[in-house]
Amino acid sequence: MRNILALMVLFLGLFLVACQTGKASKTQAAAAPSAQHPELSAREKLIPCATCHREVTPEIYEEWYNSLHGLDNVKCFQCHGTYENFAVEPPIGRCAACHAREVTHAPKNKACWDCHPAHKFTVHR
Amino acid sequence: MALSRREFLKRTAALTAASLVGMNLPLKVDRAQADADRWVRGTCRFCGVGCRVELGIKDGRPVAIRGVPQSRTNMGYLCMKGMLFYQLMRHPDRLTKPLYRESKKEKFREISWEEALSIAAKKFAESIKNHGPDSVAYYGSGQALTEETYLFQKIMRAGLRTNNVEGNPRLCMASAVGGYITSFGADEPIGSYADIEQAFCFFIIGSNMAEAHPVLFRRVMRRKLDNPREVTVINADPRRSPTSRIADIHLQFKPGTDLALLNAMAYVIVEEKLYNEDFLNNYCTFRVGKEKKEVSFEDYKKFISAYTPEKAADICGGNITPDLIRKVARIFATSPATMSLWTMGINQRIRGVWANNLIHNLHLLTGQLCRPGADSFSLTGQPNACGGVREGGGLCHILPGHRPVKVDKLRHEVEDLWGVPRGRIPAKPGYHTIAMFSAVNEGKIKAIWINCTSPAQSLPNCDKYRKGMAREDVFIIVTDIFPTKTTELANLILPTAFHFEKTGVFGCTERRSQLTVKAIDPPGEAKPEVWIAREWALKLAEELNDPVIKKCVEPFLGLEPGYELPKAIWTEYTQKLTAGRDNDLRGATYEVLQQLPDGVQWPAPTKEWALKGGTYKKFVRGLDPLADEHAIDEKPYQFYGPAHKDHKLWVWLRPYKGPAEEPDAEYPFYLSTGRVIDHWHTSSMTGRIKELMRANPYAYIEINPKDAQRLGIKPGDMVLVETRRGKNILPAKVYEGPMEGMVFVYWYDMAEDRMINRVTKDAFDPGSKEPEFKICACRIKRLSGPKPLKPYLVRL
Repeated sequence: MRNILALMVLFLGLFLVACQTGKASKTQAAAAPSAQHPELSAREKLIPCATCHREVTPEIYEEWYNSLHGLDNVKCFQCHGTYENFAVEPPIGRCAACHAREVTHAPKNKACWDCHPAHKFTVHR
Repeated sequence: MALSRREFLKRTAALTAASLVGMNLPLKVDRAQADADRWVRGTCRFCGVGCRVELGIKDGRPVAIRGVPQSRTNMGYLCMKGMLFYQLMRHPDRLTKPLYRESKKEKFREISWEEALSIAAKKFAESIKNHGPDSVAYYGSGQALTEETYLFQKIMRAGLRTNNVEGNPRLCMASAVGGYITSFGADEPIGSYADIEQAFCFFIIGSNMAEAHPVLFRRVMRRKLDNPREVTVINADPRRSPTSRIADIHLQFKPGTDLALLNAMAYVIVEEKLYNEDFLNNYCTFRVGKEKKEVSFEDYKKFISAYTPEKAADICGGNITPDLIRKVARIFATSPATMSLWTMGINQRIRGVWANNLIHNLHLLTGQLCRPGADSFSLTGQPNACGGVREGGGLCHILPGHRPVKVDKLRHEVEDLWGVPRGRIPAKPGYHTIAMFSAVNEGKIKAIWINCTSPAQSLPNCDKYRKGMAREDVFIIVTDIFPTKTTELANLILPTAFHFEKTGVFGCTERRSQLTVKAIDPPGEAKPEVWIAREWALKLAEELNDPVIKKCVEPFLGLEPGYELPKAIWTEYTQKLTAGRDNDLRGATYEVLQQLPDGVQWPAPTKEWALKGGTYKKFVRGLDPLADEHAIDEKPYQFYGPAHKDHKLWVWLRPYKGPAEEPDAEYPFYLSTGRVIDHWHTSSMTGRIKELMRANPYAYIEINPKDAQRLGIKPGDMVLVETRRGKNILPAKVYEGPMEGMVFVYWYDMAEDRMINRVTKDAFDPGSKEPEFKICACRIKRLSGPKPLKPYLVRL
């Protein structure tokens, strides 16, 4: 039963991303967010991202927490933005705030996480 | 909250899968580095590290900030504050017009600059005429540009004939100044950040640099992770913090027992003969007492024999054992290069100067100094506490160029350089910060100018001083960019230009001066402080019919305020006031500073030297031009610091002294306070950046899980915190951070219930006059379960 539920969630996720990808291709030039965060109340928006994502996405949380970003307190919103400018897949311009040189020199057809696994950002894939 | 969480989990489940999978999908890559049409170089202003940044501007509006990869301070990296502060420049809460009220009971009304400056001049002039020059004061900031601090203090001292010139660095760095001067004979660190990449042992004591200096912490972290076996990180702190995550050894001791710990480490170094005899013989003497009496190494050994590791472990408590003290002392002494790093945990103590001395002692005994990677390095809290306030004459006892005001020769030198009559600057130092606000309480100060800081929130035991600031017979001028707890008590609010809306220099922790050039106009009628100070001085000269006041600003008359005016002030300061001093900055002209990606480290007496970046390590011949110039023998190190005529470093005999207020039966907990990474000081700026406010919307009280269990306190419960001075009500964070018997509160929150400086203690170091923010006694009690809370900011 758990597996079926997990599969359902996965398919739903893929469906959402597919929808989003289609939308993204039309709006990417304006660096639009690649997904909307589920709607939260103003009070819920005052819960730091990591507090909920520690439970919702424990794998991602752990990868981040044990990464250089996690050790150095680079927080979720620095890459993904906050609710008004939220993006599941960050615009690479946000990476440039700290990694301007790398962003300039990286292959033009790849995102940073194509080579450096997302949230771990350790070594090249 | 639990229901919300469940709802949240449900609502995000689908998105989670999408985000997990989405990483591998071939989305089009958007490589735009923010949509800016030009980038202007400057320095971050949100801590003392001095990260170089570029502000991205599009159509005259700030749109992004990025790091400068070529910079030797941050190598391109930024923290969240540095990334996001561009949002403040066009924030709707910005103060944009002068605001005035005769009585503090009235509402503010908008007035013109002409009227505002006339009122400011009249009120100061009236006070001086009726109550004398010492009835007025300037209270500045480690965030003001050097040009601003320098000009204000020049007007106050030579123009208004008072040394009532202070600033918030008294609250954070004064003990470090005292420590450097008494141990090394000269203020500010010998080494640089570049030592981090060459150190093998880091002794981080009383500093949560992972949050307070994140980009510099990154360099320590990188050094450790790249050399996990060769490099040892020792973190000494009563609280486990994010800094502790990279530590090999965490020393957790009772707050205020650091002097015993440091003396015991020295004991081990002496007992086990781990000291560097050559270094001691060549460069050091031993000193004791107020008279600075010179004593022998044998006397020191006798003194230190009282601090056995066994005795110290008893005093320190926590996880400190005699063996642990021996272990860290050995690592410290025998490492190829040891670098100590500390901040407020050491400085904000009633014996902060002694604590600084005892860290320096360890370096002197072991010779862990002047070599690559070996340094005793105090971290500065603010971007320009060093450059503007310590070097620029921003404290009541010092004139520009590290000159004590009480020394006749140096004071007259300054009067001559300014072209004002000798005797114009009083010989007596003015009020230090706590004395200054006590004088406000007592009605001795009738008019005070508070620039770029919020003492109503940042002073310890602040309710006591807010009463004085609320007096109707005390006229308060505040220059700032946003409303604060201090503007609530002002008569006159003058809106100022923010960073990148004006030009000027910041001098960061490592003796490095860096220029930020104006990139955009300030909003509304906001003005640069240098313009405000100049125009005010001209009106003061008229009001007091005193041409010497005008003389103070005469070199700057008619200059365009965005660039030419600060440049002229910087030129006067560096070319005249730093010439021949240990912080010689004559080579660091605006033109030179603009040529380099990361500014200049003093001493930099010539342009040629400045263009090489200046001096990486002081006192070392071949590296420091002044070490060659002032050499008294052939030895490689020359300690020419102005305070030690013997050219020696001093090992101090400093006894153990506990905090001013220790827990007892009535108030059984230690209360300590500190920063979080997302907020700066009183949060008047960072609280207005959505990302940062959401990351830390209100202050919590951190409680050790064992204490929480004993008192029935659960995460989020509302907790009453009481000290002998007042009470706060804060939500609980149950966290293996503070040691058992200790609680910790973030000090940025300006909501009355959560403003922790309402309960902290204002006892201060008799030497440095720096208050002991870090320690007082409190009791805590669960009041209720979690309650909905709101972030709070002062608004007009």
